[in-house]
Amino acid sequence: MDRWVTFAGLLVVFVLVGTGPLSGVDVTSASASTFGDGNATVSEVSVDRSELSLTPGRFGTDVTYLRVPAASVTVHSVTDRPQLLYIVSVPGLDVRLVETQVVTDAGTYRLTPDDRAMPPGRADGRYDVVLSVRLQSFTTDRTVTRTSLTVGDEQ
Amino acid sequence: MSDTSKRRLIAAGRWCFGDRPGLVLWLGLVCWFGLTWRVGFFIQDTYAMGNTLVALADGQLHVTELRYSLTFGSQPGLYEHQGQAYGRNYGMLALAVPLVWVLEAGATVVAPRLLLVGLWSGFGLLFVTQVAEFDRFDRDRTRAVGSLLVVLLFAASVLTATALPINRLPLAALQLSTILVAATAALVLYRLVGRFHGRRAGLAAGATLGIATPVGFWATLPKRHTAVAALVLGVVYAFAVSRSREGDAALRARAGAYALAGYITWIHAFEALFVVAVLGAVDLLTARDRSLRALAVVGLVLLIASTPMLATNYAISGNPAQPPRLLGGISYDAEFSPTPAGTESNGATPRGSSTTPTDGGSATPTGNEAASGGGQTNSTTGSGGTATPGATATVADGGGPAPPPVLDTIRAGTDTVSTFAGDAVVSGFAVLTQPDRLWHIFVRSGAIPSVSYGNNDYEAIDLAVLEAMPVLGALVALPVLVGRRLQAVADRSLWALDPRDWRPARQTDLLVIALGVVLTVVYLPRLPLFSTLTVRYLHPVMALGAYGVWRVPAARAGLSDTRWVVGSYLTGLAVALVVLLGGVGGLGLAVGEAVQYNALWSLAAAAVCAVAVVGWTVSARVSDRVVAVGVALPAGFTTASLLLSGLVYFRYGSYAFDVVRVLADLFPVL
Repeated sequence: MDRWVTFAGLLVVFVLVGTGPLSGVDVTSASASTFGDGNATVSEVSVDRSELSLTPGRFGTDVTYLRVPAASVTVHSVTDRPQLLYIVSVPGLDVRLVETQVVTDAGTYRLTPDDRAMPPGRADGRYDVVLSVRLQSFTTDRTVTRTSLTVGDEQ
Repeated sequence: MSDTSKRRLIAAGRWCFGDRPGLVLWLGLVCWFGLTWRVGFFIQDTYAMGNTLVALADGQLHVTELRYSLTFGSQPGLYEHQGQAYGRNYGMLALAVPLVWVLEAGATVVAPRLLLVGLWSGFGLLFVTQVAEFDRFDRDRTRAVGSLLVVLLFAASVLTATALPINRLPLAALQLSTILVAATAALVLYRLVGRFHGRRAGLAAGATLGIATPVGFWATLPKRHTAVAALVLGVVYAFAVSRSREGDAALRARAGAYALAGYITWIHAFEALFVVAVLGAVDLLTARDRSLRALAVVGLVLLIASTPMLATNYAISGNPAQPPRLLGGISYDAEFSPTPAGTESNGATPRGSSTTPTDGGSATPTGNEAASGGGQTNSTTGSGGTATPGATATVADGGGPAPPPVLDTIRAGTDTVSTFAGDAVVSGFAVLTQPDRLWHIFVRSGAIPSVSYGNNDYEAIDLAVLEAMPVLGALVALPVLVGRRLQAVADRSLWALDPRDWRPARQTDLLVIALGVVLTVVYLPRLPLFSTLTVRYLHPVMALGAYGVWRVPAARAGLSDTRWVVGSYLTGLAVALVVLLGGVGGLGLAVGEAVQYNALWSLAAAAVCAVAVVGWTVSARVSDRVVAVGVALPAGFTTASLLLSGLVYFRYGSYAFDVVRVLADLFPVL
């Protein structure tokens, strides 16, 4: 066994045991989706409304897609682990998309909900859409912005 | 280490891996599969599998706690007998049990997340030491650079590590078991093809299986398909060995083939039935030794290998011929509470359970499988409600703890077998008369008319065979090759008519073709189906397809220049990543669109492959290098789709190694 490999192996074992339950040193952080207490101030929310559309699926998918714009949310004064919720609600289509993002630091977070596929023919009218951004934690829950608009064709 | 034990270790290593390249292939693929490993639930069945594994590792066959659950209530893949819930695929779960113990023991000294990271690094370091031994590389430099790389990845994973709850370890063990099995499948294919065509072709075949077929996709998704594919390849390998040896050595290998086929019964009796039947038929047709002794030996081995399955069935229902799959399913909306170990089942009867196998289930974000596996119902609509004759009969009279008379057991068993086998084969052949349906199963998926996409949120994420494994395009040369051979036979009567006089490679081809045809036909009645993603019911057949690709002379001719082959593959991979990521980022694709966009590129690559391979076969003007590019291109595209499936298309669970999570965040999102 070569000294390089031995050294690397010993290093790995040393770190593993040194950060294990026996030593009490925990180097793992909470998973990205774990939220808790805390609060944050939202200074800006930007959504490109023109990206909201109902368009046919491409490449042989034969569905109608409700395509939703991403929301860029700028936060500061973050304490602990609150989370941002970006909710796209289309009651007429029975659609409610919720994208969450736990925030731990000040900065701009981008929330991108998945486009929603619907069988052809289900969405052929014009529908009211509500886009809302909320800030939530175990101690707070408030709506930051709420925008109403419509999507689809005029029949 | 003393000389004797060192020699023994080397001998054991040789027996398992054949030689160093085999070991390197295996280690490399374990590391590769680990790259996109996510500890989580992609398919809903995995909940039941995980819960059954938790019970099994605790020494119980019935589910004792619902450690993993999406909602309250039952889960697809659980079956009820006398108030207790049982899982299925016990033969596969049994492989994971030792890993559960090892991981849980390891977690007493190492944090669960770092345990996985440490394992990955360990495999990486072993890989480095073995690669360094190749003549091609400078040993010291390879070790130094390789170790440094592993340490960097390790450090990055530790620094970004997120907590992994300790109760996820059985799930991780289950996934680790399929990773190891998938790498073993590639190793077996390496040894199989290497046996006939040398190490280089063998390595190409093994690598193909790991990086250019859906085997890479399912390696971390703990379904039965990986295990069955590996065992089927094992059967073929043992068969091939037996045909090229004499006397007791041949008989040992032959018995090995039956042992592996028998083991499949413990995972999935329906598939095992056909594997055993085909193996038996081809074996008798091609065996030089048809003595009573040989038949007695293989028969006994088959029986012994089926014993775990018979014993499990007996322990569950009192009827050795009744696998859990034929017990009543627990309906999806049943109020369900598992029976803790060591308590009576009183009061824990799942209400709403029925003796009708149900195809329960509703959508999960990424994929739900309701009608899973063969032999449960013959309905592809996922509606349930079709009483399965064999099941109702045995549930009605075979439920008591007293063992039924042997004759009844055998009768019930043969009834079940003839019902399912007969139905599957007959309706399978009927599908062969429906070209549209075959087109959607094998060539182009798109939105398939008969598939109920509602279960997957209307996303067209289910591929056709060629889209999932475009390197199969090389098989288009088969008719040309077969035509040539028939011509040669007619001209010079070259071909011995008695299969016993064929060369071992031809006899093995016969087994592979027979297995491929039968395992395809029996699943055709259920296809196309939602949530099969890569037509996973045909997974073992696709693994056999990789053997077929490297039996085509043109594909092997392309291997003459190693540098060129590797260069073509890496170029293909780079091109694929650019066009696929470009599509995702530039066209704003949704999941279904991204998968279909990828599928169309794969089909194009498959077409290039087919043209190059057929061109080489029929014309002397097509060079080896052209055919190398032709085969490397679809391989590169499949590697790219495996990567993107892991990093972009499908998101679930938590990446086993957080450094990969950080990397995945850099990719465009759908």
